[in-house]
Amino acid sequence: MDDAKLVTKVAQGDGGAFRELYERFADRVYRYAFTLLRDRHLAEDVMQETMISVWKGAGMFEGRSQVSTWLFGIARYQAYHARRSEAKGERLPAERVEEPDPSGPMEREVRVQRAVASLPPEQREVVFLAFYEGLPYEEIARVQGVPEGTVKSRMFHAKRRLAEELRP
Amino acid sequence: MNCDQAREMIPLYAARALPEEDGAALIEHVVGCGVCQGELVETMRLTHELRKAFAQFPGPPKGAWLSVAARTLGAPLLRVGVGSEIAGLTLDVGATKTGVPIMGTLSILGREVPVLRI
Ligand SMILES: [Zn+2]
Repeated sequence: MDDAKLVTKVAQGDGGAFRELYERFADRVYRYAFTLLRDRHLAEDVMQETMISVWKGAGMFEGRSQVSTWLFGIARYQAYHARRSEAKGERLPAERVEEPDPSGPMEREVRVQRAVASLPPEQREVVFLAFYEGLPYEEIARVQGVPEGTVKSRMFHAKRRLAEELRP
Repeated sequence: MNCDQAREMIPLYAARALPEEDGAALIEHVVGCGVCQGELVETMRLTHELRKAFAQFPGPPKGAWLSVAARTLGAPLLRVGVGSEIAGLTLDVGATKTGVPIMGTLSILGREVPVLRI
């Protein structure tokens, strides 16, 4: 069953379809939230709130974008709130992602992760959505709520910066 | 296609997000352009490394589904059964936004009778 059909079933209150949708997307939404927030606890909150919003609001999905785009849009909104609540001190500061020790042997993989982490948030998001999720620019623009040109420019700068950081 | 257009498409091609006909047009350009060829190879390599980097973070904890289910489907978090098939008591411990409801059912010879709701 394709994703959009699954959402229709969820809108009808089908619990099995909801479980299936969760299986397909929870991990991806979590990784996306983690990319935005760099915090495991916040990422889990965002994932859960996103899935709960989907259960409640599946009827609002209009099928004009991919289901993943729709989900990432909701997650982005939830992440914005999570970040704001945290800034206001409404939740305990969570454990931060450990930065790899720069004095240790710099494995290539560690360097890649560090380079990604060092990107400005909007660029990191574009890199995730394009390279990990394989979303076209048009869909990324929908998620970020910006013109396609802005996404292309973010991609251009992100790629240049990654290339510089990862030069052997 | 010119080099600028090719540059725009290369990341999408590497991420397998480019429609097939655009991909074909891109390859046609790349075959005849050394600069874009280098760019494509470099981007494919970067894509592979980035995918690996994003995949390496641990995913959500296993128990996350239970909390989501409890707040949506109202599925029990925990089911405790006491007794036998002939007569027994089942306690469903759920979870909602407002608390942890407990529902008890007494079953006698397969017939279930609600006995408890906290
Ligand atoms: Zn070229």
